[in-house]
Amino acid sequence: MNPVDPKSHSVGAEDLSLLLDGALSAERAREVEAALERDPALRLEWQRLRALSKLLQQDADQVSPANANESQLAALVQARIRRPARWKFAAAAAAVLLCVSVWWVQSSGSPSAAEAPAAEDFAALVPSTKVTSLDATIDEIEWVQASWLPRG
Amino acid sequence: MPAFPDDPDVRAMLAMKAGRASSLDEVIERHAARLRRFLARQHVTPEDAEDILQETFANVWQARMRWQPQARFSTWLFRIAVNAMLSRFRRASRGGPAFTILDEAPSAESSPSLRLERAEARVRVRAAVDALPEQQRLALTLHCYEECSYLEVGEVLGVSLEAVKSLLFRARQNLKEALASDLEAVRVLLDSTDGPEELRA
Repeated sequence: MNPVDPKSHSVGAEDLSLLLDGALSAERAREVEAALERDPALRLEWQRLRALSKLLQQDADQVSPANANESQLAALVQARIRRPARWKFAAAAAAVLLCVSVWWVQSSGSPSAAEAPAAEDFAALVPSTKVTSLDATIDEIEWVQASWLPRG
Repeated sequence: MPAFPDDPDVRAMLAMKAGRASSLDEVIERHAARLRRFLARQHVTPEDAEDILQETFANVWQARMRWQPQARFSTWLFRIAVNAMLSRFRRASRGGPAFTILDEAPSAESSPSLRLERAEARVRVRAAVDALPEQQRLALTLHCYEECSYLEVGEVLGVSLEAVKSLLFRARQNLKEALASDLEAVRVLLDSTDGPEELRA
């Protein structure tokens, strides 16, 4: 009977996965291989892992993409990467149009800054007291109307 | 100095950095087929795959100034493709099967029934891989089909080396469960060449 290597107890399925990928250190790989020699259950697990690897290998070249028109793809990508430049142009054109519209509205028909009441004028008219009743509110509205609106 | 000065992808990226958009066509020509195959393995429909490819290569152009010649180009490209794919999956639910199982070429050794049996086995393998959780499936396909190293898989998925090992281990465990009967048949065939040396070779 072979002496039992205490390290072999710690060999598990994850070590086999790493062994399959050649990702174990040389020392650890030797330990796992030694454990495989001794342990039938571990060996069975290794064989199943190899079988899985074989199945995946067989599958590797069997997936066929439906279409493969690289020149068409390249043309679409080229159109796509040029699109932002067109957006920038459109945004600049929209900004210019907006500025012209604002200038046109201001310069034709709207009250001039000198004629328009300033914000402070409104502030002075608004009573600072809190509204206590509906009657008081109506009084205040009438007072604002009398002070501000032109009398007929 | 770039780490891979003779690499045509490095030359193309440097040209793109200098503003030559036509170099992107060369990159598309070299990598689109591989990415398309990779996307097919991720259960992406052919229509979605084309959109993802467009987005991927457009993103390559957008990100060209940030690309460092020290990084392996294909790893960087896969990372962009995976991000484009995942963001698309998050926007919309995944489509139906996108892959086509090719019939095995007829030969003197393989009978029609044997070819059919193998084709059916491949369908089961594909279904089992498709059923894996997203990260496990990505890690497995990058490593086993695209031959990316652990480090490259980690770079593409943005996870640590330990996480890659764990993802691959769990993916294999899940596949072993899902394909138990198929594995038993193959295992018996492989039994005569038992031992780790043969497999690593």
